[in-house]
Amino acid sequence: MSNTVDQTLDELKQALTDGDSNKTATLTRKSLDLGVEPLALIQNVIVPTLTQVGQDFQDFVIFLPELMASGDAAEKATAILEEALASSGQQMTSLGTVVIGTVENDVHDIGKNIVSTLVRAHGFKVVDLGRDVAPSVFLEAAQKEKADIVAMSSLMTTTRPSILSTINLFKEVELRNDYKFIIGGGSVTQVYADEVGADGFAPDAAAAVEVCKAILKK
Amino acid sequence: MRMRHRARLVDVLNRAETGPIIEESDFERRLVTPTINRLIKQYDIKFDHKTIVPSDDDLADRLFQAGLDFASEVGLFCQSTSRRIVWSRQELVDGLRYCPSEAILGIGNDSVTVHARRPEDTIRVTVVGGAYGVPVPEHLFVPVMYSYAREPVVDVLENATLETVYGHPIKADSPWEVLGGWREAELSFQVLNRANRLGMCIGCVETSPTALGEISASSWGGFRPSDWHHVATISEFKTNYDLLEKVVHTARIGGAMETYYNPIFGGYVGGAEGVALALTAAPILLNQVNMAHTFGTRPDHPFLNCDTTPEILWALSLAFQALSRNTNILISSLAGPAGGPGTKTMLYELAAYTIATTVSGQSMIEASMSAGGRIPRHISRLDARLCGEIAHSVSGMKREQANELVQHLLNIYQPDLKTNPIGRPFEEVYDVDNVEPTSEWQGIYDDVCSELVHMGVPLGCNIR
Repeated sequence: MSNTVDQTLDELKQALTDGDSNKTATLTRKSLDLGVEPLALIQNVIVPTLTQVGQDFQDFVIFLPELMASGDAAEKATAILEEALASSGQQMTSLGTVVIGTVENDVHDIGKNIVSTLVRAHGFKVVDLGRDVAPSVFLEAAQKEKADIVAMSSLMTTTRPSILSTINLFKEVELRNDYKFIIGGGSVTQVYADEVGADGFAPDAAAAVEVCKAILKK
Repeated sequence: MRMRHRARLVDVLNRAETGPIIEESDFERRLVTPTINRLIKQYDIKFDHKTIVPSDDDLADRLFQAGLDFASEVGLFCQSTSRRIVWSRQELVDGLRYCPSEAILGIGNDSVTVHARRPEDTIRVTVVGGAYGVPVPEHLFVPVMYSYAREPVVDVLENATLETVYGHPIKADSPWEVLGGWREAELSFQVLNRANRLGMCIGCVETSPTALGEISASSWGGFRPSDWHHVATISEFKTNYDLLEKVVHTARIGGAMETYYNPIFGGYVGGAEGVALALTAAPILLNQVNMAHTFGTRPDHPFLNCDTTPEILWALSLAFQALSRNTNILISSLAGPAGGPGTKTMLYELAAYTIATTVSGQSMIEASMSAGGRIPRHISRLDARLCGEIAHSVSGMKREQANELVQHLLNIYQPDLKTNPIGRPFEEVYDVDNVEPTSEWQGIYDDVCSELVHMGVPLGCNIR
């Protein structure tokens, strides 16, 4: 039995690494059938495997499509495990919830996609709002998802003012202090982050993961 | 400079509304990535870290054929219509036959003619000086840009990005964008007046994330048709109506156009081989869709924010050889060192970049997006001087010799790339009143030039 479990978990790790969503889903169900606890699967298989995949991307052993495929596979597994936890009255745990998007009028999203996938790979729940996201959409999503962090990306100097507009909207409705704001992208610097009162700044995708972790420790 | 290929403007717009429908994420992940991966294997394109400047003509020609295949199989995605703008291989080949092989930028005595070049060509490279994308405050815009305009080796001026207009943030798709575009034009003409180069061509409109800035500030009284109007591509292989509106406007004012595509290393196109293929396919597609005069690029490393890593330099060199051996496309490239003003790192990176791209057949070198282009005021015109001087001195150099020089330079600067060597802002490396570099910065520059001469870069020769 133990050998079967070990083998299944090894296969699950491989399926996640390969970004094979269907196989991941099958092996996740099989693991549950074999009696593996959902939380143990998350903590001992999914998070460490995805963390390694994230590191492989940072070392360019793999590239963004492979990283995203692993992220998709992990999402499938997570949905199955969430269901299993709910049926036993337990709750899914994550390092925190991050609502992320590229700000209004900015149509560039590769950098944001990399951040989104890396942050998810390191154990956060990520709600990706896409590109050209209006301030009101950030606000609505942050409330709906009970976000811990609102993450905004802006590539251009001329779309950067939307970061401030978004933070100001949260202030106007007196919800600014309910969330941590982190910002990044080609036009953003630490100086600018200080100017607009963001809680964190990430110069690149790898740093974004560390900023998210650090900000929630405070 | 005959723009015979712009006759297909209506056809382009029509195809943006009638091409095959596809979800954007499917375009990127189910079309771009698998096609790139398949063609790399099919045409046996392999990165060789020992040969950053390849001299394998067969490899370059295979890459060109792979680029043509990719362009005809994938096309360009239009975000506004969720459709692919597609062309047959024959249409793309026909389009390339009529692309301009030279372009005149600027007016009268201040104009410059850009020529198509081949690998190891002795034809003069056009030098663009400026600080594309680097944010500068309004009060520094004129001194910064004047520093470039007064530099004799600079043929074309490339504007920095204004941080504000009359003290207010320039917000995209708003009246502020329109005002920002006009303020950029007004200040640019102050620069040309001060430099006494009134007909000099200016890269514009930098403060135009949507079509508003470009269309307003390049109408009567603003930027001129003889200026270098920029139309971007969204990575990877995407356009939208804002960008196509710029194309229509520039075509209808008879403007000189630069279109550019900046792939992300490690992104949807993958590593060195994928970037090389993307860099080859993009100008083929953009020639067809945007009908520009010149085709630029500034690939980006997502963690180092530069385009001077060995993999990216190899991709640039090979792609430029593929294009310049097989087409008359006027290739321009924007150097984006990780190093910034006041650092030797920046100068070594720029030297390697210029040598690799010039001997590979580019028509224009642009300097630079120093410190990765993201740090406000981290600008110095000595970058353009170095790139210009090197481009002229290595024209005609054999690729094998260029490869040795680039390898040598990489050994010097590569360990520094991870140290975030952004250097110092303009006002700390320049006397802002006299617009002259400080003696310290000039001294560093002179030291590096001496080192380059010692390495075998014939600086000071081939003054053009």
